[in-house]
Amino acid sequence: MNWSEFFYMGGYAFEVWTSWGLTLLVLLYFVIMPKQRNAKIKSQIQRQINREQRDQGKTDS
Amino acid sequence: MNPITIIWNFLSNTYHRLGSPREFYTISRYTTPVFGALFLVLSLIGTYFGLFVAPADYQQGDSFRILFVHVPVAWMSLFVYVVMATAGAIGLIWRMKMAFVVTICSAPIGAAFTALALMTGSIWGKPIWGTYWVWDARLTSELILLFLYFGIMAVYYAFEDRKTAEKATALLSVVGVVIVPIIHYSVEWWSSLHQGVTVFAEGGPKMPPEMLLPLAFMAFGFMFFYGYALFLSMQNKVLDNERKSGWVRALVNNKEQQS
Amino acid sequence: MFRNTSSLIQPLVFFIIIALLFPFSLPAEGLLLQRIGGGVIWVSAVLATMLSLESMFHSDYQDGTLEQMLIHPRSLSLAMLGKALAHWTATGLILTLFSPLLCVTFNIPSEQIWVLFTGLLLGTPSLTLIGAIGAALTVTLRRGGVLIAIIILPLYIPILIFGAGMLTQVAQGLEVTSQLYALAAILALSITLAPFAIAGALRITIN
Repeated sequence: MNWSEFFYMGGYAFEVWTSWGLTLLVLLYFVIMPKQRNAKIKSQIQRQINREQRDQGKTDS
Repeated sequence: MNPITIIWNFLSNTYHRLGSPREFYTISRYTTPVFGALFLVLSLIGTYFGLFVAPADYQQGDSFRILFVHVPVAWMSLFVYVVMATAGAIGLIWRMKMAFVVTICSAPIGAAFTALALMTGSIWGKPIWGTYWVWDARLTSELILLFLYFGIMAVYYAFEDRKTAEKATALLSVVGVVIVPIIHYSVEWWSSLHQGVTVFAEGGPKMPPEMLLPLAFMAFGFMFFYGYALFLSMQNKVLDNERKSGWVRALVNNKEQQS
Repeated sequence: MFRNTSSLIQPLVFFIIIALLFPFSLPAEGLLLQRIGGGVIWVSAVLATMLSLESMFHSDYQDGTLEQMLIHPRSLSLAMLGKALAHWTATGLILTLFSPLLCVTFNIPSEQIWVLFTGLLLGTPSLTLIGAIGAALTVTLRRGGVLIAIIILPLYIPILIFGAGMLTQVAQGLEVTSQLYALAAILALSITLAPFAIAGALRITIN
């Protein structure tokens, strides 16, 4: 398997690898971004719960 | 009970269960990784056969390997729109709020596939056609599709009331679905620089099996990617929409206490 | 809509001004103007229609007539068809009637004027009907104008392509029957389906 020939793609290296690369990047984005957002939403809700429990504690005592 | 009834009942039950945000969330915890795994397996196989095994095209050389991403993302741009519009219609007719979640979460993914189709096609076109762009029917209608996706997302964020936003988005996605057959048949109805109908042609695909096989693997792989990305996005939307409800709070709180 | 003459004149004035910007801003060679004339006039018609759409439901929404229409037992879709027809007579129809004058500005030969005229006659009602969907979706929003453009311009593009494309083809001496049929088909679809979408959009956005 001649790797340099493979990457050269018969002269079309730029076209082939840019296309595949863009596709990969976009797909990665739609995996990473929701996971980050998931963590963010959960921490937001958790902070809200903590805030409410603190306020609850204040009004109880 | 015959097998068809059993399968029908199972599908029907799953469909109804998915209609509840809480049930959807539970089901998606299992199905999402499965989608992801299937995407990886199928697209790795497709990539291997497409990049390494398939012989170079006698006219286009190795540049034709762009086909193995360009065609799947183009197909997905249409597929996602159809799913989005169908979910919109289901939401409007049967008042199913999870259907609306499918609609709005599909829009960015579909827009991304459309943009990718346009970009990869443009990059491929420069060496082969000699131009990055031509205003033929196929490219123009795909560009219109991209604008439609943008419009759908713009409408959703324009409304403050979530229920109004959901329904307006669903309506617009249904209205715009006319563009999908136009895109597909554009190469038949107009003389076009773009390649004509090759895979879905009458009398079977006009493509050699060494090309068709990796293409099929990539296409199905990307379909599972759509499912994966969609469910990830829908999970977030459900958490966001239902954040005041008991089950969401318990879910978040328990997770916090566990970690 | 017919409450004041200014709302009748405005779309027409927009139409003429936008179209006339082009001979002012481009080298006024007869041949160049002739080649772009069809497209320019069509784009001007599209923009003028779009500008007039924002106000289509505005006054009815403000004074409560729209809510009355929603409660009224008779078919809302039919009422919307009527409203679109009324709007078209005040915008698209007037633009179409004035288009031959603009054709002269762009040196379009008199034998081709009928092509533009018929195209506009068939196309502008579709522009109003489809645009009304956008107007209905955005009626409650304050900055609805830009959003209308984003929503409906993609749906307008096919009409634009067929309509303006007719002039290029007839200038080359080719038949334009297919474009006319296409515009007629779009019109038929719009008349039958758009009223339901408009009514649906109103029901969604208003209470």
